[in-house]
Amino acid sequence: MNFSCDKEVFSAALSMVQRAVALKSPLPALKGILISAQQDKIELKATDLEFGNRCLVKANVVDPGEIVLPAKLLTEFVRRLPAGQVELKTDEQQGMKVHITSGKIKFDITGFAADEFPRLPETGEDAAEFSVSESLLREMLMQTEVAIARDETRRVLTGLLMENEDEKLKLVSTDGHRLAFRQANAGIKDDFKAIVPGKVVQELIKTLRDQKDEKVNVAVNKTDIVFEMGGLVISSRLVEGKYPPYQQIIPTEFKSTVTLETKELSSALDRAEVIAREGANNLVKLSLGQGEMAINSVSPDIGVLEDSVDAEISGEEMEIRFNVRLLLDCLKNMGAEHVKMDFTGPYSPCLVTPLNDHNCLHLVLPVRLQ
Amino acid sequence: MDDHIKKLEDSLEEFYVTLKHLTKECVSLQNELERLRRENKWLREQLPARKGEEIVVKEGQDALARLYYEGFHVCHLQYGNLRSEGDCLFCISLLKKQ
Repeated sequence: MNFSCDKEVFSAALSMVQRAVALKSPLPALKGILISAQQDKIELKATDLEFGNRCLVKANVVDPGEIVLPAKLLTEFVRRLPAGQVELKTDEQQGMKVHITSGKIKFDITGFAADEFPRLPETGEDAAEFSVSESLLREMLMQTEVAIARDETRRVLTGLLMENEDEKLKLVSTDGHRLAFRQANAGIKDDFKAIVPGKVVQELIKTLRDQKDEKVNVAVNKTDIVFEMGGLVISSRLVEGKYPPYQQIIPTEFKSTVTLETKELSSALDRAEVIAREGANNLVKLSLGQGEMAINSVSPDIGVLEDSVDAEISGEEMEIRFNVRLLLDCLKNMGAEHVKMDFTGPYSPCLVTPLNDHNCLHLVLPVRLQ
Repeated sequence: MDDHIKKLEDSLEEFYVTLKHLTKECVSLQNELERLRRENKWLREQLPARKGEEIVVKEGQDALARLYYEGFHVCHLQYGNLRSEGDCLFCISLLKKQ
């Protein structure tokens, strides 16, 4: 193998791909990046067996070939090289040794045989396929990622449900205390239902760009999912299991409805969090009154915060306590000027939606004082 | 003279710690009182609605509700597991439906 490539391009590709490297794996090949040089490009691959990153980069390939090189070492070394061309050439005598050259700098590194590297998760011809704009998928993922369970005891909830219904792409996540739902028209013809691991969702959020014109091609079958965007491919195994029937827990009848300005509410809750985080459960008390919603936060050791937000309120007056972080999380990426909060009772879930928009909703459980 | 002042300082310090402890206890009791008031109100509200129900249904419902308030999940996802982090959306939805 012998190729040369622009340092900046090579370094960016390595940084992107190395996020899938299994740092703690007992298999040495999994701690590496598979570099395959072919025709006028090089392909970089990394996987932790659960999910994988693949990136194609233009390069001047003199001699095709492939090898696995230690990910951390290679990424850090290439990042520190000066701008210009980087050349990678395998030693003619010792096949597993690679000479990296950049101007006067020379570095020899030993790798592993490419056949020790596992296959990345992939979908076959029977996969459901669809395309969606990068910015839309990014926005949808950011709005739903917050409610993915971190607790590994409920395995299916550690992923994000991705499904289609009436040609719409639907994303759902819940950790049992809150639920996030987002849907969008995507013209999807093929039926599918997949639970995408939370780690992959975070990786996608980091990778996807805020560009409406660029498309992400998604292919999904019963066990794997592949996202392809630009020269980068992210593939992953799906979380096994059946996602709980989330539609049943979304309430349809409410006791009180409150409409508020999102920014004003976020600012007030953000201030209340300063006090609330000092106490137990990060608690704030919301009191629905006449034309305003009072926000109250108490910490026995620090003090009391009283605030209020102008609101249009209909229905019963109510006092209800929430973990302020959960409310802030759902408002964070709401992207609407006004938000509607539908209350079902002081101990029942509250529905938070952008005003006049049924494509996004968050369900948050209040806190019951013990 | 110094001994008296030292004793007075110690007593005041002790008094302050006790006062702080009592304040905390008082807040906790107030919260507990409010929770019980609400629970009592909620239970009273439920009474008329239950009059027409069959006894068998009521028993099953009560058993699930009791299990839930004793701190266990009653939802299909985690039935019987300890609820270590407060209320559960799926359990509440199930109890409300019944």
